[in-house]
Amino acid sequence: MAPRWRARPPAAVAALLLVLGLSACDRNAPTQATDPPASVTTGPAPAAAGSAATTDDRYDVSKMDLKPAPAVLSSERHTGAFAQGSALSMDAAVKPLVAGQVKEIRLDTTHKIIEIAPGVKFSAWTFGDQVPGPVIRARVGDRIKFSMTNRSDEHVPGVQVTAAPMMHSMDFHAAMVAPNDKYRSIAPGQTISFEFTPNYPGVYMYHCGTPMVLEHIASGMYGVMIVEPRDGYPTKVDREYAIIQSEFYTKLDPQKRKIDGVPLYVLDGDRVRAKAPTYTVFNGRYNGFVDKPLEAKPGERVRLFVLNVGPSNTSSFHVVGTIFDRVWLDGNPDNQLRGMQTVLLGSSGSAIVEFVIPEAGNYVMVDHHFANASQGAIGVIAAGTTGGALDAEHHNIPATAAPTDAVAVRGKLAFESKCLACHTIAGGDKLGPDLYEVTKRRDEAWLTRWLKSPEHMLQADATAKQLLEKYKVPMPNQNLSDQEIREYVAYFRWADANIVRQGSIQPQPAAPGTALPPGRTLSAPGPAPGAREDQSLTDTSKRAGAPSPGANK
Amino acid sequence: MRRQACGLIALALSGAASACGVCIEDKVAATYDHGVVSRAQAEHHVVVFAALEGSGTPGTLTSNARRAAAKVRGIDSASIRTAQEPNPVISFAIDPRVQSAGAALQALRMHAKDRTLRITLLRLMP
Repeated sequence: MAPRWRARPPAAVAALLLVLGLSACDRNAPTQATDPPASVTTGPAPAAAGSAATTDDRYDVSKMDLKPAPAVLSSERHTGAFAQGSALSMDAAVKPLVAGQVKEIRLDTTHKIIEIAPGVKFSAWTFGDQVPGPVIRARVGDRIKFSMTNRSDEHVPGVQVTAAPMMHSMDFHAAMVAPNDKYRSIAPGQTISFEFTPNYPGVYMYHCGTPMVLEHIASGMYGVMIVEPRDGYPTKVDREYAIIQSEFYTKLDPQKRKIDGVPLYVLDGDRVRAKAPTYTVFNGRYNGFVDKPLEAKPGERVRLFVLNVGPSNTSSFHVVGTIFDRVWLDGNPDNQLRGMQTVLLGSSGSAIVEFVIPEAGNYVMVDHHFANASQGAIGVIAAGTTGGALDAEHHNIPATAAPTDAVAVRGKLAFESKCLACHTIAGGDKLGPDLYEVTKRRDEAWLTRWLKSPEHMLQADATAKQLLEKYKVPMPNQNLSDQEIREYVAYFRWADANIVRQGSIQPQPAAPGTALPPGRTLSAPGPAPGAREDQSLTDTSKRAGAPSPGANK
Repeated sequence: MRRQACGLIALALSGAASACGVCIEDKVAATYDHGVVSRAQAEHHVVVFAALEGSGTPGTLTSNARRAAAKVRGIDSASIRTAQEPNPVISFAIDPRVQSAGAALQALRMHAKDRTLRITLLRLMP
């Protein structure tokens, strides 16, 4: 056992260090005080920033908890639900802060198949069995009692398609602790428990910190922890949502495995390192909040807790149709900006944005890096509308049943991102023709030439000239690759075989039985927040370590 | 001779398993293979995780160590795993009835024929 003086300095020495530390703080303290916001509606006014000498200084380091107890490692594994704790919210709607200073949180790690986009099943690694992990809400000074079992060696019934069990860890950006103790990696079957006290308000990322960290984050191991100021936020809002942007880097499974007939996608290591995602999404889902818009009402004040996970790209977060009344960078009200159109967030960067819904309508959340938006970083706040009929100009469309063919899926996603401003599938003509049954009207060779080089076709091809005469607007050259054209044509072919014309809503639903609805597979129910309610998972006789491919055999 | 002594000292001190800049568990995670650990447990073998240091590149260090490990008695050659990132590490399963983990690491170092190679035991599993 270490001598007592090593673990805890004598009180006199500690007091001397404290005095010296405070003196240093005084010397470094800014001379100007920050005025509280002019139009705070409720709550206490923020104290003067940087005034370390005041008795109510919220950043007084001497009052912070900087002596957490050592983490405890055990071989006793959790069973049952993968996420537990009253401070957790399982989806974007953030529950209010729960009473009580002590918050017990359990987030176990799992490997599971998630659906990123319609028809895109991805082999993910999770906290709490969902991507992103549950939202944690606490406040400065709370005691967080965290525990986590690495349950990556448990698998759902059926064919084993998830990644091999591996070591995982938890890194809370909200905590001030020794990472080599609290954030250590644990093997499958092990449980780690530790406590910490959030000392600063903010919107913090949590993630797996096990090497290769990039792969662990890109595979889905992240979430957000909201830490309120000790006295709450200085404004009052009607709605609170957590928006978590992240990137997915996918490729088709080299083993060509399928999930209920749909191709399995796995992490593409080359894309990860090249920072070239295939999907950039909000809350783990391509166009997720287009499919299921967030709700608000005209006149309401909305607070979004926005986190850009990355792992590698930035977000230029914007809400079409409104202006951020307040932006609190990193989620701390002391870092306040007013009247912002966008907020720029690097990887693990965050902000709280508040705005007013001026009138009934669909307010589009978007990463204004539009290359990211076209990859799925789109969402809608439906205020006084159903959210169904959306403005295609902003590339926001409801998800529909998906093809089971991977090539057609990519064509569908590309079409819905780039073409709906001018075209529909079975929704009637717009600037350009309705493309329903286009594969029956034109042969594939013609469609390929048309998509590849419409300007040349307009000079020489009679059909193309007729189209221009009818629609007046020339089809622009989209600079599509041959592969992209094959994907479009595959989607058109699928649509012509499966779409059932039903009014003008876009996209049209598929015929019954021809495709799985989004978010659902035959063996794995759609993302049901909270838990995989399968009792077999708690049966130790059914746990088995899958054969490990071993990345470096 | 002096370098050899340094290497042996590093090995002797390996029980403390002090990591340099990166957590021990992080290094262990780099080559952790659940299949290897599960099989070793079933066969009453031990999985040895060790850090590699030396004058060579990470690639050279790990490839030399891998070749050397395959020649060591008691090591299951199919269980050998190496990683260059975040730091060069090697892991393998060994039958403790043939020789101990420490003895195996010393033998590995001798087979590697790299006088700059230092091997630090990180962890034994299970």
